[in-house]
Amino acid sequence: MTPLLLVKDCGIQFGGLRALNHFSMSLAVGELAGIIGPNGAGKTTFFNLLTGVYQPTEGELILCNDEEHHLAGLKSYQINRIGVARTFQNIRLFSDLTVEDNVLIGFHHRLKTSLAGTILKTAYSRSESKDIVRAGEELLHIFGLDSVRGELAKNLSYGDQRRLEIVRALATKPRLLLLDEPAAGMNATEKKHLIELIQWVHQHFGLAILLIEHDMSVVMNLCPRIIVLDYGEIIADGTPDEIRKNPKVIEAYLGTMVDS
Amino acid sequence: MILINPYILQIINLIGINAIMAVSLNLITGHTGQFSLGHAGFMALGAYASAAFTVYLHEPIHQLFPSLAPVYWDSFFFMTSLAFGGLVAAFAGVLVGVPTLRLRGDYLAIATLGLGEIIRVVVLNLDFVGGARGFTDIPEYSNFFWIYGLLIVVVICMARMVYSLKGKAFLAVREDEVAAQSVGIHTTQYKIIAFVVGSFWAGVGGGLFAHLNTYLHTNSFGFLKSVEFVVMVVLGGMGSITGALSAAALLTILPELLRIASEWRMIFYALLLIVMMIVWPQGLFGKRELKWRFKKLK
Repeated sequence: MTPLLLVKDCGIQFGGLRALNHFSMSLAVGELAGIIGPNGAGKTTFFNLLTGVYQPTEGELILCNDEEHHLAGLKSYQINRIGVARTFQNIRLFSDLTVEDNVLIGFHHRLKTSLAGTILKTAYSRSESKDIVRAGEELLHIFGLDSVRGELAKNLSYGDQRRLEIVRALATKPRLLLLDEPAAGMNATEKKHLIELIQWVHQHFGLAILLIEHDMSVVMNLCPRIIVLDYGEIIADGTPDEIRKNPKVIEAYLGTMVDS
Repeated sequence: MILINPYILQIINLIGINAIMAVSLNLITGHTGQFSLGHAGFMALGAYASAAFTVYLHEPIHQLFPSLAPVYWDSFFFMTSLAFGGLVAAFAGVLVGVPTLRLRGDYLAIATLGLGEIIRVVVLNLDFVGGARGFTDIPEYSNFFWIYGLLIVVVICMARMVYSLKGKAFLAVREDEVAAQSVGIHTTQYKIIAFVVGSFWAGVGGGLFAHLNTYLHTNSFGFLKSVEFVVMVVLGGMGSITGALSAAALLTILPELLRIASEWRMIFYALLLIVMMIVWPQGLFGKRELKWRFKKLK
């Protein structure tokens, strides 16, 4: 399998705290993997490293997408343009804009018209924006959001907001999608729909997906591969069955046995 | 025009200039969400640059093109002069925007506030533009048509920019910078564009003001002037072009109407502002536009 993402011996230090330590992993093209771990294990920090919010203090992050890109040193928007999109743990939509605008902004870096072109309304800018509005409508339709397209994003239900965030990320045409706790705050039915949705996105768009999730039922049902983090290090990496039986994982989640 | 008395005409002209200022600041503060307290500084730069251009270069340039008919010549010359004022302000916008736009919220407000004052004090000490005596004998080129013609241009320019597909990036920066970056928007670039375009039109507004008043003094461009423009944007509704236009008109007329209250004037003015912000906390139009009007502009 060709690797899409290579992380080599990565580390990041915040003052005296090592949030990630000798972190190495690889993700194949089109692979779907889950990252779990107790609070403060460094899961979101890892996403922030991948998307340029933080810079690693050591190690390499390489995205092999047509050519090799070293992610360290790139800004968030540059990383997005080479094919990494994400959602956020605490939803970050453009809340005072409409659902449709949220998605259309996702198409931003694919626009070739310059600002001068839009002011002058050149023929090219008009036809281009027509194409993109149509592509946006299609995406909204696929995800069943076309009935609320005129609503402000902040007025959507929680589940819809999560969904909209995924749609916005997909609009940027990523090769790798990072989902940060997509099921947080959802009820059982919503979770079930979410699992179906992510599976469908994974197949339909042919993406690699990494997701952070606390909800074990979601991770175990969805991800053929699970990576477990604790104190900034990978303590296990394998199929759901392997993870379930791994003594280190059990220890991290339940604590050590104490001889009485 | 002859039927309207000069006092009213002057107010109408000032409304136009203030509207240009409010709409240009609206791009920076309302649409892009960058709080700037230095807009009067950029207006001052444009005003002085454009006035100096007219006063000092009128003769030398005229000699280069002696054959042009005077009517066309004056219009052409004034346009160049305004563009020059705008460009000087825009250039200052780049110089200042690149380092300061990394700051956020309160810090940016303080930086731009300092900047506006620096511009004012520097101009106050430049002798060739009059220094503390003020800049006198500027030809009176501005009139109703120039002011409102340019107002229409600036409104169309802003509306097309911000309400286009590409321009939604400005709104994205205002709403959430981290999220905007995560979908591939170069946020710093958009902030700088907003700052530069806003400063350019502030400079043009300043140029119109200089050639309307025929006299400039740095006192007209103090910190309170910047605050006045911010109030116009906030009262109109952050990010509403039609809102900024209406608020500019309202806040220019109001002090004049309140003249009947003589020494109580500014107290009433302040009270009315407070009442308006209580009644319309989102501004006159919120983030929306007056639709019928906006459609026409499109």
